[in-house]
Amino acid sequence: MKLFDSRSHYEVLEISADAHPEEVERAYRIATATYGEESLATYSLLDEEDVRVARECVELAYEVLSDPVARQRYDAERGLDLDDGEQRVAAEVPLVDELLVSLEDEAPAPSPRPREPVLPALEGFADVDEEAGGVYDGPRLRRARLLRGVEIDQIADVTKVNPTYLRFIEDERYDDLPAAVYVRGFVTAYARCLGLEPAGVSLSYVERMEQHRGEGEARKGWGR
Amino acid sequence: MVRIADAARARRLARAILSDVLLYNPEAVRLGIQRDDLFDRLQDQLQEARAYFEERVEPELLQKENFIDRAVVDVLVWGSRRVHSRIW
Repeated sequence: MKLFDSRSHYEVLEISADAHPEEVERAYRIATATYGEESLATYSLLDEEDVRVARECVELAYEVLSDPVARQRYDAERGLDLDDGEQRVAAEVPLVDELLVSLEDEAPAPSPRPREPVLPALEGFADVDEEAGGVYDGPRLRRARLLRGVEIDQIADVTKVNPTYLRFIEDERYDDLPAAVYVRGFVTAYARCLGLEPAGVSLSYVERMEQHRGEGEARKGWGR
Repeated sequence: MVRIADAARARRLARAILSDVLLYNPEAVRLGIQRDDLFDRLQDQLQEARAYFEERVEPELLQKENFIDRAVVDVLVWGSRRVHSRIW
């Protein structure tokens, strides 16, 4: 039997390399339950040290595989093929190694392109509606966050939701977000963290997201 | 619209805005630190950040402290402290 700490992250969570984010979440919950302190599943099978190593491996695997950027880098290191979506995420968010690259190794500056808004979705900042109710979309959530002086990483620290997903929520990158049930949980935690009304905010956001996804499916249908 | 009149809250707002500048422009920030041209390279972004900030804060408070410049140092410069650069 392969030692736990020599397994790949996919093997640790017992999922395939093309597992969707919701499968990663599900596998993580199962694994944490399996190797939990009060778990009967491993009682007498693994000693205390084995369980500790297993838990650490599960946490590390989840940390990497639940973060689209970290997962893409991990896959690349292992020589796994990437789909377009993963490559797109990687292109937009530089990796830590890239931040440390020396000046000599640097590629030439990218060619000029039309500049996107520096702080997307902040237009209308002065007219922000702080009253409860209404539609909660990504830009509104972001405005609410900024007005409270809260950074994405701070919300991630409190909610334990991956900061990449929090950014996707604000940017309304619906196609990069996992299934609605998870997004509902993420938005609920986000809203609670900001002192917004969690149920109303998550309901409003997920409705918009599902509407968008429905339209996307309909468009695909036209193309068939 | 009610503007922010509390300095602590204004500082938090400035940090949050600059944190988003870093989040959306990590490569420009890295190069700005590496080549010591942060303020030139991020001129547009910082102008926009300052404009957003000033829309939300009482003008009297803006006269008392340079919130955005301080947040630039705290968030962008400190956040890039591991980038190789001659400025360190």
